Amino acid sequence: MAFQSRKKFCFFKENSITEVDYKDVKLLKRFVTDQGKIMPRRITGTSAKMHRKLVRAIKQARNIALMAYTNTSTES
Amino acid sequence: MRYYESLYIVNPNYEQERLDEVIKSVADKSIEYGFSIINHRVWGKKRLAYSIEKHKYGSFILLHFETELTENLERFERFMILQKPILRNQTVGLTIKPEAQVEEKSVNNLEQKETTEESSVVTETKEQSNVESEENSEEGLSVEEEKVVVTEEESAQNEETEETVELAIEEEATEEVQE
Repeated sequence: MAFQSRKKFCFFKENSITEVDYKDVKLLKRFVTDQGKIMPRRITGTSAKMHRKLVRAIKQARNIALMAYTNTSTES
Repeated sequence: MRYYESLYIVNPNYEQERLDEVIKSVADKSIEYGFSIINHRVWGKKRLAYSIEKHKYGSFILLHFETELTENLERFERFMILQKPILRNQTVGLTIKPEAQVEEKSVNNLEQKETTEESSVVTETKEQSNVESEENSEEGLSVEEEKVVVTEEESAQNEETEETVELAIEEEATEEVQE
């Protein structure tokens, strides 16, 4: 039985988004695990160029307390 | 010109007056450093992702400005850090010129005014139409009454069975005769 993996695609390229805003937390949360870790490119399928912008935006959002650095089960 | 966006969190316990004072002090300082302000507005009171100085909420304030004096940015950063009511601040460079939202608000206000005027006109026309309908109803009351009587008779007939229908016809005939 052959395993067919779903084809990955860049979310930003599909939706023609060129810049990532750190204030758009709803969008950024798609690319973060429940723990709050940034998901790797091999899982999300984002292009290298957009992944760099995404990582910067997530880190900026964390700095200004819009996103959590960590989200452990004890806190919530 | 280079464009920058500064987002800072003010103590959530501050009332509107004290918040305005903080905003004014930041605006004055930024003008002193030669920044031309494009936007300076309150983004809102939001829940922080993690507590800062034991505060779970914070008033977020957004400042868009443009400047060529990049050396003053460090001084501005220093000033923001030293302010006690400001819990956290972050200045980010922008590639595109931000849109001024103050003008949009005024435009929205104008639109709202226009809509209210339109709605008042609509209510006036409605009142007029109501008056007309009342006049019509006064004239046509007798006609409507007749119609209602006819429909009642019809409904009563539908409910009756075949046997009763025959009886009813006889009764009607007798009524007609009496009339």
